[in-house]
Amino acid sequence: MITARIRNTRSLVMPVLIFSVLAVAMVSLLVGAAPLSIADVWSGLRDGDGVTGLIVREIRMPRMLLSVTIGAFLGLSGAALQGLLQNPLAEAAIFGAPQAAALGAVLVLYLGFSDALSFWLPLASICGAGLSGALLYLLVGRQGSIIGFILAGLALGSFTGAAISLVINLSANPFAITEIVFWLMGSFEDRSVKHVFLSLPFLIVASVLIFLNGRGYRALTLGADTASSLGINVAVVQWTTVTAIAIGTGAGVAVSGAIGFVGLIAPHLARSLAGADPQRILAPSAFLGSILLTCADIAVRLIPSTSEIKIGAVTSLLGAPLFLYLVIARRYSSAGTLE
Amino acid sequence: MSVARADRGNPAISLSGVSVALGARRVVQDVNLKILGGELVVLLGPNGAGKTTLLRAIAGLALAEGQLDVFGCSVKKMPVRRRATEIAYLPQNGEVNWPMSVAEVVSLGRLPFGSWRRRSFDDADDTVAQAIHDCDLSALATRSIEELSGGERARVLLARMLSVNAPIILADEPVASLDPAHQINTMRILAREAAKGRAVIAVMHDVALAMRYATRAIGLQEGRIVADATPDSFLRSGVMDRLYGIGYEMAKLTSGALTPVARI
Repeated sequence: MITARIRNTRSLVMPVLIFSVLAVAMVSLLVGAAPLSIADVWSGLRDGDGVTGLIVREIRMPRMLLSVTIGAFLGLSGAALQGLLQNPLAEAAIFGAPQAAALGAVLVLYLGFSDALSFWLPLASICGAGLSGALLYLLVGRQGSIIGFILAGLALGSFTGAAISLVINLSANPFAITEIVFWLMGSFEDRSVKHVFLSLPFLIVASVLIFLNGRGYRALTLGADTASSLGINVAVVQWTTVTAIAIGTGAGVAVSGAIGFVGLIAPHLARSLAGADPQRILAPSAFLGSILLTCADIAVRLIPSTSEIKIGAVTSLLGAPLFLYLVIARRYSSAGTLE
Repeated sequence: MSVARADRGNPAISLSGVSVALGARRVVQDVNLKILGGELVVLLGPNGAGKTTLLRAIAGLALAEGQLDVFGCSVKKMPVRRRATEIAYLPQNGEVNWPMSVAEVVSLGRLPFGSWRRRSFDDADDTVAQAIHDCDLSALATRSIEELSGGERARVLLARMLSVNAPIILADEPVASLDPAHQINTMRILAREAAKGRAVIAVMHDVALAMRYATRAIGLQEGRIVADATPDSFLRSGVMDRLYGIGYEMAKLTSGALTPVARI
């Protein structure tokens, strides 16, 4: 009764978000070097013949599917990690998962195992991200404190960053260096359906693990002790979240490279739409991640330039000021109290 | 729900040879204790006596040696979900990390009962509405927790604990930041819950207030129980002077009950 009014406005959020994802996904199929009409896309999807069919089925469709699914996972993982750490500044980079995933993939590229399309790449990045999770576990322990977790994560993140620099540094082949650096910036250019099938199973498993922990994130609002007294096994929540993020980030980084800021911003936007409850923002945050990343991918195709701008650069360029704005807006809205 | 299990006189909590170590230090040492449904037990003692640790051990939150049973079942072996429905725990200085509404925070007490599909908060839920009413929060129910004063927040967290509706209540300094009227209201609520047959343990520093509502007082010093008696004999025994290292005078209230006043 008391919260009925709040609930009514919030019940609109999910339909609007789902509609927006579909709309953005549609636009993503229309926009590019060869602009298409809705009718073109429809006929291209149906018969798949000719140039239009090729563009829609082989180029735009995989690209759209990747930006929607990886965006969703980035948004979801950000919301999960912020819920776990009870900190609105948390994202996967905080325990070095994307960096470690990138290191795994870079090593594979560097050693020449992979042509960027084999199963080696996602496996290597998942191993990299998993290794960072395992190292974190060793450093922090099973019942690790949140602050120890963040500090160890930062150390791991800068270590893997340094290791990537070293690999680039030691690389004898300048073409390999360009390849690695471009790939690190993140992109959905020239991706095929194979990439979608490569990443999707991992993303689904990781997302399910995160959604299963929703009650845990909600209970952690009251601190680890109270959450535990409410029947939540905090250690289980902590380590399944880390595992899920390692799996999903590894798969995402393998096919798209490292993409920043979506995981940080999507949960913030979700909170302004759906309230502060960490469980309730999971799904909206995923949808907002899809929307943000797909929009960014549309933007890189529209910005005129000699070579296509990398999407990771765009998300960071747009994300950083937006994030700053959110932090400042939040600071002034909370009754003049500085946090 | 299962208040009936804690009917007056049934043993709710039973500790035998319970010790808790934090690092190398044994904070709770060889505690033997039986608490019945219907009792409002206040746990007294100086800072660092082990009160909070003992409470956390009973709640299953601190690793304890020895036998620790709730309704005849070992707390250590009890499934966490069941433990969560049997024991409601209110920590000292409880935190609320996200700016949720008062009603949402209080509803968190229903978390152990929700199925995995039931995700919406329901303040029409009798227990939640009752807890909000009892803690004098009806006017604040839709406000964000961030807008409240420290004392108001403390009442929200008390309501959150009450909404679990558990047969055992463990409250760590439940009146610490409250004004006198709300301190009395909180003690009344705890006494009323005990009268319903629940076993209530509250860590208290306001000895005078504690003694007016408690049915039993336990003194803890360096992790050991040094006194366990009715409030009246607890006050008469002179254990207060030893416990806190300061002198106490006993003043007589118009009702005839004793109240301790520290000598200055």
